[in-house]
Amino acid sequence: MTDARDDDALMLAFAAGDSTSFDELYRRYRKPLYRYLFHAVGNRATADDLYQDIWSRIINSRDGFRRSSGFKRWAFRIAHNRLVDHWRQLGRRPSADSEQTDRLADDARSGPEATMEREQQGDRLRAALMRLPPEQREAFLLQQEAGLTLAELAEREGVGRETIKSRLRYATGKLKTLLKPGAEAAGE
Amino acid sequence: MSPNEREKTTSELADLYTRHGEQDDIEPEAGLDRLIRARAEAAVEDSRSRRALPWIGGLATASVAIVAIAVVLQQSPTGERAESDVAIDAFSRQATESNDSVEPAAQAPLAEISRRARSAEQDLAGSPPVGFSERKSLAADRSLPELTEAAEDRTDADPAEALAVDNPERWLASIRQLVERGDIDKARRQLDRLQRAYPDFPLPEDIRSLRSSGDPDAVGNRDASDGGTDPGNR
Repeated sequence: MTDARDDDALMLAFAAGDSTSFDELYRRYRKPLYRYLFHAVGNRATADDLYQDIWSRIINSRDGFRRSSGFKRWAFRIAHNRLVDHWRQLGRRPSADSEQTDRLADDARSGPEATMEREQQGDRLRAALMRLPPEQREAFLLQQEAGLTLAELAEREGVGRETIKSRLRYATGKLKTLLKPGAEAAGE
Repeated sequence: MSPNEREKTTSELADLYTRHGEQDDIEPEAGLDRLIRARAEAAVEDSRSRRALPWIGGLATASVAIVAIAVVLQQSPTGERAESDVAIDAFSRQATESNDSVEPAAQAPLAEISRRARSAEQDLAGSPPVGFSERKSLAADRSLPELTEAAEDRTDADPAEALAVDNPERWLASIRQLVERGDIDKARRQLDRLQRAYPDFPLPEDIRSLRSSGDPDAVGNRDASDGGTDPGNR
């Protein structure tokens, strides 16, 4: 049965000691958070590690949660910060992980014939996302997965609204180019 | 590309992404789900047991303090030992005659102890907890126009504050300075921003109380049965 309470109420209930609220919250956010991480880093092993760590942080920080934070914004902020730490630990903030991009692009090109159209489209989308500069990719993913507004993205990144708009503009422009039919063959 | 065309492209891409998201199999494995749910359950159980024995924390703190004093007394050279004795005498007098002022002779060692405590606190603040090590400035990764825009966005920010926001430890230290200066409202505002930027950053007790005292929604200020969420009411 679906719990009618909103995310914030569930998180507050969890912080007050109700673990069943966490189950419902987890059910709602497991996929969006995982997809955000997977599309940001491009491979399952790293996404798994980060995902686990982020949920641990959410659990351990439950007492600090306030309704005014908004669970979605709060959780994705934790995820975003963890991603930044991850890239920093690698000693770089990759413009795109070429190995992963190539792998994903290859997967998209040489998939078995029986692969359904939508799976190929999914692979192409992932490959295209990995070819975006990270700040554009993050802005796009946070907008799509976390549903953040321009103002929220700007605040999060510590930049102006216009900067975020321009990142999203470049991201969508590049994705459109990469996803148009024949773009792979042309090596775009 | 005209603004309308751009809007259309963005919307098409959002549709594509959403459609793809509804169909794809990108999700955590069941084992990972079980592990995380078990962690949440364990955390709740742990909180319950801590709430059931609230005196344990006080007892542990007192024990650590006694051991620490014993170690200090054993390790101090004779001269310093006499100084420590004076300090302990002064603490004892303060405890028993809280309204009386401390003897002038005890004020110097007390000041020294206080200074050392502050210094140790600053050292601690300088050594980041796991997961919050020094953050590299992202400025190096930004293009010049972006940096310019970011700078324009922040023209009204305090320069020290602007430097602190990339590092939660430094930010916390600046909040402590505000508290020491008595600028409590600004400290609270900064703390609010710090928490929004780093929601999982562990707050020390003194800073947490600063937040709780002004935040009716903080967990620490809520009744356990708030919002009908107490498991006992379910």
